[in-house]
Amino acid sequence: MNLALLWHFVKQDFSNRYSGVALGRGWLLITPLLQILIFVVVFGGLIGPRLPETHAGAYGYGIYLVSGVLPWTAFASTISRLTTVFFDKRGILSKVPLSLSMVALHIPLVEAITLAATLALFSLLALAFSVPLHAGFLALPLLILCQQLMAFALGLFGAILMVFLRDIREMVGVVTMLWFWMVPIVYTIDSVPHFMQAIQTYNPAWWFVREYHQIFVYGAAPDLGNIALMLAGGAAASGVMVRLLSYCEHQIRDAL
Amino acid sequence: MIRVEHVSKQYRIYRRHSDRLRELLLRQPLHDVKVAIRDVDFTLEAGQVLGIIGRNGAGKSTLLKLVMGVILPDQGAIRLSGRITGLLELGTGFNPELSGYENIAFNAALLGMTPDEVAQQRQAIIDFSELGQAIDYPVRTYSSGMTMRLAFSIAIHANPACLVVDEALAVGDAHFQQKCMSRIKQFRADGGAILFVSHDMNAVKVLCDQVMVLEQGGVVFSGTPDEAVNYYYRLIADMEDDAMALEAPASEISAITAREQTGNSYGSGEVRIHGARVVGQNSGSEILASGETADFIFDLAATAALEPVTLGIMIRDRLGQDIFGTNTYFLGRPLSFAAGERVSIAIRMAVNLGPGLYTVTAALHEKDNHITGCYHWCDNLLQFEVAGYSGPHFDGLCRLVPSLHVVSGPVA
Repeated sequence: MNLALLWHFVKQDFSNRYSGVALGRGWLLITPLLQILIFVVVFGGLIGPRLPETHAGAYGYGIYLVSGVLPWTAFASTISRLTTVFFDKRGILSKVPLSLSMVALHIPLVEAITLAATLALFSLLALAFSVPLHAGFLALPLLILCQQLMAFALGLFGAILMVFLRDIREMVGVVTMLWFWMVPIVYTIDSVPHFMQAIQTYNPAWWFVREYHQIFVYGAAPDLGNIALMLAGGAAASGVMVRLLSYCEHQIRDAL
Repeated sequence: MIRVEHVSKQYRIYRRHSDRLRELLLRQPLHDVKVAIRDVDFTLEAGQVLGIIGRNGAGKSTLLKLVMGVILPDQGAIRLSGRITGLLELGTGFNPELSGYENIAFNAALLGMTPDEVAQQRQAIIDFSELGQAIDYPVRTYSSGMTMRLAFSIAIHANPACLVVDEALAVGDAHFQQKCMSRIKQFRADGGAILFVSHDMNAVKVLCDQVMVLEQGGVVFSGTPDEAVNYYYRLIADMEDDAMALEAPASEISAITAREQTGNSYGSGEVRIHGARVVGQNSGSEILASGETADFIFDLAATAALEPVTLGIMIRDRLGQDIFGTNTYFLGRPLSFAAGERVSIAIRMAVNLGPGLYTVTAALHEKDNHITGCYHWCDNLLQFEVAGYSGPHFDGLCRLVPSLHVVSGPVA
């Protein structure tokens, strides 16, 4: 399986979602645009709390919310879609000899592209809401890579477990929902009890959400050391999972 | 080309998916083992067509999946040189919302074609598929035949070293099937290897150089297409005999009584047909090669002394047309019965008919006339199939036996 085919899988994924629709890929941006606006205006401007020390003034909380929700959505949806990817693609996998890990790889790619597009849109809006433009924005592609590497590793683990236990699909849904509320996305880290702040050190989602906050909310450069650690950790974990996947390949193919 | 070395494949059957996990954790087996393929070993060379036949569940699909590499063998090894391409099942890999044109790229990439190859072959694929304007419409608007044409066209243009052809080819109209066939033959002539799986024994005989018969996951016979197909028919016939033997006493007449209930049988009943079968001399079953000699056997029983009695048969094709009829009166062998006598009669003849399904209607009556004195009449009592040829090929319903002579002019 080659890169051209991987790219075809990515394109196929987008066209599956939006083909046959009059506005086509326009919906890829319309929905998140609306979501961003609602979050920023309703939660930021109308009913949201005020955040101190932000440039966006009254809309600070809205910006804070969206800069966490968008990456998280991509992260969680990558994991849950990866968990079922082999079953979703069983029609092709049971006919054409394709590498399992390459087939899996198109999911984090699709979600990364979607995230990149929505973040680009969000960046423009953030600038309009008087968030200053700064060099930290240049780190966004790296951050996307970090979080998607980690999501790839976790999602592959789910996909492998899925063969042994079909409940994994539901469990992933429950776990990501709980996990969402364990990350300071809706609330700020200062507003929760001490032990909640302490466990964030071990929360991979917080590792990258924090950096998005830095860029969008506080107008600061992200912590490059942290990014390097996430890259290394994500790559290592992905490597381990790809090995585990090839170890279980026999059983996975039989189960399809 | 393809080397399959002593390959075996077992499936673990779990009652529940969660048993896999429990087994892993508890370290105690919770599965049944189903042997899908046992010790299959063959080599497929370039330019050869290997047929695989067998009953449902014999392991044909599993073997194909192993060769294609979408499942892995438990023992043995499979070596391929070059690209192997199968016809994707209808719809697999096609995005129904995209046009045929757009689907070519993805499907071709799935089959291993590079973007350059796709660009080169695209027009040839469209031309061969004969989709015309429809190529720009979404695949969801296609009929199953159109989808299949596109799928076949892509597969054959992927330029594989080995092509796996299965039942998928049965879709599409006669014109395109013939086109596929000639393209497949062309592919073989160009040195391509073909693995051919089908229940269509005619196609197997026409196309294959060698045929393997699979039964319960193992190769039970391997040889020329004719031998293999006959072996296969005997296998089926034996199976049916076994099934009959289980319910022995009733079945002897059940076939007839069933007909009577549905109104296909009537007559005064002094002498009755209580059993009938067609047995090909080579095949041993009711599936015959064209030109094969077969016995049409009838078991008769009389309740009263009768003379003369005529046994007649009429062979009809699937459209119900009378194809051939004969009787013991025409043959100059009138029958006579004592009361309580049972006798079995065989009408033996070469079945010089074209391939197809045929029915046999049989009757017992007085002299040559079944209007005045009909003892027992059974519509569509038997069915047999003519599949394949025991001589040169021919077209049509009737097997005349031609020979060729030069009557004048230079000899070519």
